[in-house]
Amino acid sequence: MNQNHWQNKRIVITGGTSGLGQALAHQLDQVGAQVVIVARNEQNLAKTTQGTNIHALRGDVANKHDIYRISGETAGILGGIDYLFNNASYLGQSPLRLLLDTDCEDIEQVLQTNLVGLFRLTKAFLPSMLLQNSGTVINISSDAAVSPYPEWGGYSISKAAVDHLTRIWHEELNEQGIRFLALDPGDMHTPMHLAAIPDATPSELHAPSDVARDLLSFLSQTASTTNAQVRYGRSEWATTGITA
Amino acid sequence: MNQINIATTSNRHRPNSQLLVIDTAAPHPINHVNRQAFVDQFRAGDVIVVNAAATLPASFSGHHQPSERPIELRLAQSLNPGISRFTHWKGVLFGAGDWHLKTEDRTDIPDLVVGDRLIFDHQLQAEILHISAENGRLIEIAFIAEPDKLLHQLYQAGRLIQYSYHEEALDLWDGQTIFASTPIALEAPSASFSITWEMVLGLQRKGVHVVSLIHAAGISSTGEAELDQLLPLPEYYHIPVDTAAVVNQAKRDGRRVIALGTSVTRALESAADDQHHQIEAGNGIATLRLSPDYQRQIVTGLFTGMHEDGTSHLQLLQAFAPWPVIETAYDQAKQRGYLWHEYGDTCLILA
Repeated sequence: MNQNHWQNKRIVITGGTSGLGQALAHQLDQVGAQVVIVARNEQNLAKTTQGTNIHALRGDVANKHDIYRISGETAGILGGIDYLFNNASYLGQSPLRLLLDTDCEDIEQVLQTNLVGLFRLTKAFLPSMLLQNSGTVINISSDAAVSPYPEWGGYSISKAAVDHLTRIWHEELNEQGIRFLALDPGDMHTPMHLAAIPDATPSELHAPSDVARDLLSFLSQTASTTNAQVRYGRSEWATTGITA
Repeated sequence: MNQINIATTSNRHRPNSQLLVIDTAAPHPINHVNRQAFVDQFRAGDVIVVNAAATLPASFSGHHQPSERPIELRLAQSLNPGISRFTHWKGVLFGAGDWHLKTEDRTDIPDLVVGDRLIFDHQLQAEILHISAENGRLIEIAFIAEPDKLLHQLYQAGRLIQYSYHEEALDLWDGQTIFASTPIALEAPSASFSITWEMVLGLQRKGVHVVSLIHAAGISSTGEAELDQLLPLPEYYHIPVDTAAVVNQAKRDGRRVIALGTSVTRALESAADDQHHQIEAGNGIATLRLSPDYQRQIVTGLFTGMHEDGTSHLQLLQAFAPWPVIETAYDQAKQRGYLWHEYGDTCLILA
């Protein structure tokens, strides 16, 4: 990882108290970035930030009323923003079920968190980035965005939509100095993956800390590129480290 | 003058929004166009300066101790250094009721003594530090909270300041402009409510420079003429180095500098030196009150909402165009059914 790249960068990570979000927060904190994590649970926030310089911000990205409070409090803490990691995700009710068996309310909740919430929060943070002509928005995607796995319906649909939202924003704003990326981190040993596939073999899954390390390496190495690729599958960005 | 119509909802995308264009140098100085024609009013080399302040929830309902009587505190001016401290404020107290009631009907407040407490929701409290000799509703307070928790508490306990002409309670969302970045405004820098990013990108494609500053737009109305005369109170602003460079180059080249909103006008003119039509980057306190005889140093154009008679905003317009022109234009706007106030129609004055 290019540590200098992250020094003093102002970074917001949603869903920052577990899995990939937590690993990103800890690693970025260690290399001198200024990190705010957003999550719903106060205790998890306290646990994640203990012994670090990470700032905890309680909020629910699925709740419209929380959005400008989150961006406002972040501005009060960091003074601005360079990177937004839209990492918070809701899988839907587990065990996963066929799309036809999925409750309407559940698919609404999935889209509310993964798509609409992400849209709203990004909308609230983009003005800061646009007015400084720089900033990076990283939307954490999934291979389920591309492959129509049975029973992953709501989540899969939301991630496909996020990929496309990312592409549209890239088309509309990339000349303003804003970088938009949708990155599939691959299958990780996280609470969410466990909820989706309880009998998965942990040794076949990536450790979130390894994925965070490789992802940050990829981001810092490609920070100045202006290529048109917006969506990266796991094999396209993972330049180092483990393979499944 | 004719009656005015008021925009009573926060809808920003009315298809028939009108734009009053007053170009003092044109043979026909007053024109009425659809707001969609906003971009057409500008040319390559123009500089448009916007206010990137986000709007804080600056209205706090609660009660006064020891009287136990209900009050509402509206923050009016930050007394904190910089943009990341939120403890000390000048505020205006209102009596029982909320935004549904006219502010002028809420001027009856409890008897106050320095040291009294104001108690709000979410365990937020404030201590009264000073009571203005000019008007007993104008007070200085300090919130009692851990500094790093205070902003969170303000967001939880506060609401947007709003007025009785609104149909519905405003959500925090309704008070943010498309440039909202730094939470420091106490009322929205509302000129930008009618601007879209499509317009901004269109301006940039045309060669117009769009740059930002932040200005802590304060309270606009207290319900009491005597207090309103003190407005606007001194307001904090910050001008980034890049913005100052773009503005100063434009001034050297004789290009136009247009302020998006009265708050931007105050900040730019407050940051001007008296001699050279240049501004200084950095922080400052805007104390200027722009009156009809004010000699502008920096700003050559103003984009703003429609303002009511007798307000300081309407005084400010006269620093850009003579009153007879504004009066004629406003009369025409009333006849054409323009909507007044922050979510309404708009006016561009090019001096």
